Amino acid sequence: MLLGCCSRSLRRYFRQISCRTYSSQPEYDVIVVGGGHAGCEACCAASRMNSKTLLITHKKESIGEMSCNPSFGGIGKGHLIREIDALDGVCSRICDQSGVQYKVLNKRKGPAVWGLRAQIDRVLYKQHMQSEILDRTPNLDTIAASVEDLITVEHSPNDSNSSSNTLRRCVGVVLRDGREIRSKCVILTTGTFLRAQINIGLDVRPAGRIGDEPAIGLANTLERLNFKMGRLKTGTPPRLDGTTIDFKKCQPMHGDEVPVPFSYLNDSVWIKPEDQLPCYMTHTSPAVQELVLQNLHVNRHVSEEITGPRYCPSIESKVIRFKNRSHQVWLEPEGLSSDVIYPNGLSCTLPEELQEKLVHSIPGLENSKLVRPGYGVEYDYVDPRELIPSLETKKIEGLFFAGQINGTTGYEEAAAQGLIAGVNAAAKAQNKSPLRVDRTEGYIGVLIDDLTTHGTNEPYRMFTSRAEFRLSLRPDNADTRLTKKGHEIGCVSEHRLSLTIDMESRLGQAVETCKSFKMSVAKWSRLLPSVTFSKTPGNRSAFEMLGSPNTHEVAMKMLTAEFPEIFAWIQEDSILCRRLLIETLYARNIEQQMQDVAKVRRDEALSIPPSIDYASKQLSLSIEDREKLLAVQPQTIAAATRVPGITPSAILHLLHYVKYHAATAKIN
Amino acid sequence: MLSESVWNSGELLFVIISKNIINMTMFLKSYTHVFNHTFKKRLSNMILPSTSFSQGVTNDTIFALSSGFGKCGVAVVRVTGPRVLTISVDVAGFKQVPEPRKVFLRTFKDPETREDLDKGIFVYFKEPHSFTGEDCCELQVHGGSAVVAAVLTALSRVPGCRPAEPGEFTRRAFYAGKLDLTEVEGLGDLINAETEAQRKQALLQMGGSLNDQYSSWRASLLINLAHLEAFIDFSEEENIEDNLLSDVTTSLKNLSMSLEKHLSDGVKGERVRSGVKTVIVGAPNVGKSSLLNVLTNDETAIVSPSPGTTRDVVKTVLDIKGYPVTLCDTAGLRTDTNDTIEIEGMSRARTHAESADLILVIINSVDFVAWLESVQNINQNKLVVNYLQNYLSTLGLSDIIDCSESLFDSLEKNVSRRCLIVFNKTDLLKCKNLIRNICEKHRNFISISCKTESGFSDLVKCLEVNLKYLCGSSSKENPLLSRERHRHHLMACSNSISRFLAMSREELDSQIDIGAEHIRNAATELGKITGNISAEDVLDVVFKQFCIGK
Repeated sequence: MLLGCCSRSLRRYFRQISCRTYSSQPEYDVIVVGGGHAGCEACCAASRMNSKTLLITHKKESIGEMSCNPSFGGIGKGHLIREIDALDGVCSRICDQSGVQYKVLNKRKGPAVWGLRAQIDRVLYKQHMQSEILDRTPNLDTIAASVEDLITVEHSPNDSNSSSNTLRRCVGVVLRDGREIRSKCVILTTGTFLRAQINIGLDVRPAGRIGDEPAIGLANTLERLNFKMGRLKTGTPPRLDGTTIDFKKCQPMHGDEVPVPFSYLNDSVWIKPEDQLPCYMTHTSPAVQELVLQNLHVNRHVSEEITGPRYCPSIESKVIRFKNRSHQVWLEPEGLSSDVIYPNGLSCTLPEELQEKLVHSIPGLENSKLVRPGYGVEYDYVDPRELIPSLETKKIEGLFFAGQINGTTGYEEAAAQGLIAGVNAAAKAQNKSPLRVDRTEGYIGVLIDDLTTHGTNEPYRMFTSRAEFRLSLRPDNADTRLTKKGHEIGCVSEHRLSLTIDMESRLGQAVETCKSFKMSVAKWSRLLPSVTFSKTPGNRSAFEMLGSPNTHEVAMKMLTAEFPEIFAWIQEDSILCRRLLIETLYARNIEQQMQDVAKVRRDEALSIPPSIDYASKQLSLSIEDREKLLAVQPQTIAAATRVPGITPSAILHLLHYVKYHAATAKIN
Repeated sequence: MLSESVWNSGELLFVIISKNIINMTMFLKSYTHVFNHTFKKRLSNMILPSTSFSQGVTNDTIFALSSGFGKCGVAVVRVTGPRVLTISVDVAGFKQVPEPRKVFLRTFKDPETREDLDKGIFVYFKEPHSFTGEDCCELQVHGGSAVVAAVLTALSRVPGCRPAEPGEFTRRAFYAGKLDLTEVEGLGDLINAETEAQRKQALLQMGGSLNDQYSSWRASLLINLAHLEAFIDFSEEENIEDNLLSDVTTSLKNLSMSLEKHLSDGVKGERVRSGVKTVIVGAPNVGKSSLLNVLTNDETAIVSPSPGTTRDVVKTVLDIKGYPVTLCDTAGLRTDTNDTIEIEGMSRARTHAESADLILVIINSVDFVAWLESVQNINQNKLVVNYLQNYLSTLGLSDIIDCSESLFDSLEKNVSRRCLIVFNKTDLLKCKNLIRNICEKHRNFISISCKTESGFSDLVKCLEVNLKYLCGSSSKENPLLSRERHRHHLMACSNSISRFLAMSREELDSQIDIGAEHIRNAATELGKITGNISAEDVLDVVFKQFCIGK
């Protein structure tokens, strides 16, 4: 209480004293290691949960750095940002403040798969993020330091609810200067830094990012703690000087006339539509293929066995796998105040002089100057099956992982995990049960469930094809799916909650209005001659009539014109109206899907106690089933059913065990 | 109390609608709604006092033959789920909620055709006092596979009802907390054996070629799904060919046609369900109706010594050695009559013969022997063929029954229609040796006497051999059920693809996500036979076939 009123420096002073005096008492509830996209969301989420939080990062000035492409969102990724926003995350709002071009992808493929995307000004993004973290977030301290080790202690479970077979608990970190900082929970968001090395041509240097040193100590710590580790690689393209590019030879790509903001809190984005920057597209020439194939011997990154992402391949792997065709190159601006161009699709690891040659063979880039060469990164990651869905590790209580350390790729995937880890670390510190988003509730749930049950052997990226309940997990309804849930655990503000509740009730009313407004088929065809529908006699509700994507906007206008007293209030609120129309499109399909959702949720509700002994005779599992379950250690019956190759018999045994366990727990 | 009121509203609707069926789908919707709504209420009442894991009710109502397959005295079909009461109305014909745990003798009817299926026992178990904790009922019917197949088909016609997946009853029982430790442990292995072994066995028993067929459908569906997913996730920014969508549509059209052909081609399965169509033909007064009556042990058809007694086709369903048979007695065939009713009757007889799986050609042995003795020839075989050719041509059946060698050897050969030559009235013969010799030479020739009922055990044996062929070789382990399940999923798969194909170009262009959903559903259904199609499978194809490169 007292500390909360004091100034930042005073607080720090007190803390130092208390540190010396009671060094075993935790100074912080949550320590977040790493200031990338996962780290930023994690520390902000923990702070929103009113947990005393510390962010430790190598350099304060690289907080919120966009290390790779200058854009946020996209198909599937846009869904994640909307869900992060619904849980009061920060990246969505900052994107609305720092974008230079906003565009909704897939506009013609149905609102369930619309992809909100924005080209972002790197400098602005970083500025806004830093001011959010350093100035505007209460309960959050930041220091620039390098974490070398974790402090773990023998665990003595003081409450019987906690996972009883965890042996150790993480209680803080050790900095490079030897200083120890104690906390109740630690979140590692070390990105690609774990034992990272950068490859350019045959040149190999240890680095997490150009100009940043790798984290060797922490990687050793994780290995010592027996975490199952793997190695992945990724890459980034060279950066070009935009003033040396002949854009006339390229095809311009413009943003939307009416940019759609990422955040539910915003009605519009910061930039005027007409001020948006264009992107450009060009294509590779046959010379690129020739150059790549002739120089494989000087390209260490490509010749290695380590897995890179299949969907974000280097130009080398594209040329090798799909020969004799032209590949697209998108020229993306890095910001309003920068001339640097990011040639998306040209990620490569050739020696610098060959990269220059390669770039020059592309139309429009003949005379372009390389600002920085492209490079490849190899790094350690932890098998995400080491985690439970709260993103806490199974082996060390109080230790959470989020972001690329778990084998994912992409800002949005990292941010989503950061948010969940931040909330859950704070919840753990407060003895609350964790926030759990399941596959039926959001892409965040799909992401975490995929990682924690199946693991990954390539950098994991979100696609809409991964979500089985795609038609109900839409970017338009993330708030009604998640905001209440977030508020219950404490990571969502009252303000946001009230906005969501208000929208939900108005949407409910609008749906009801449309469902109860019924007319005969004859009347409908007179009112809406342009709409084609089955002429089977009977009454149709307005809700049914609006469910056709090509005509529903017109239909809504006609309805309003004809019956203003009923429909005008909906038509006047453009956001409400748009959401209503989307609901009409999917109503029928979602009704069918809800049955499957119910099945999954029922199985999700049956949690397998962490103390389960798969080898026990009582379970009588086959050796194969036992091994599969041991590898994954599913948390729920639903997760167990998704373990590849698991037999129904094993599930049945587990079901029984869960039931038996619940019964004995009750008696105790 | 609650269920009582549910009932009334349901019944009321039923009465109104059945009097005036305007829009069946609307009816079903509202009916479903009433039931869902109120059952949900009941559900919540049920859940509250029980433990956390007994939330075990899904919306589907499932059914399965729970007694063994094959000829047996009584077959028990179990049903569980919210539609049990709908079944008590639609199939068992109750007008009010049957009292739980009491046996009722009912006539079971097909809910669509209102055809009588069988007379049997109906028992209702009201939730939660049942095996699964849900509403359950048991239909105890006569054990022939024809009856069982008909009842299962009837149940699948009740909206919201489907055949149970392996182990599903047990799962539901488990969710409801109805099984104790030992029961579950015992059942676990059983269910495991049922699922994997059953799936594999079902595929194996149906022949390697069918397995290949399923695999090729799976592959085709996977590729099309992958293309649709690639179109959704990547086409905005990647080099994805413009004609992708129309290629997918073409390929799905082919797949759909192949599925539909298979579904309608599954004649053997169909025979098991609806009975092997067996038609009795012959000249007037050779004893066709008598044969029917002896086989059915009943006075199904009127018999009299005057020719032309049977005018229309008399149909009856019977069980021969466990095989379902629809036996049709037809008007005697002759050319010298002017009676318009008789002529119509004969034309119907020919039509039935044309669509029959099995034809019994009845011959008066007295006439046959007399003819044989009048013509002296050494080649008896040729004589018999001559007689039959002549006989069939007087019946006007020459073009329907190919009276060549195949008639004699059809047992070995794969002919589409099978024919048995039955010599009746052997009791009138002074010497039976001649006929007996001929019948011993040809396996599809039988001599009987309807009057003394001699020769019938040979007839039944011969019928059995032919029926076995016509119905396909049945496995020991519930072939009927596994086929029913395959058929169910294939139908659902085919329906989902049809829904995709029914989307207009405009709809596909604006809402491919919904189109993809149909194909995802199709893949899920097919996956229940062939093993599931996961998101990872789809992505593998996507990355193999497209250069996704941003």
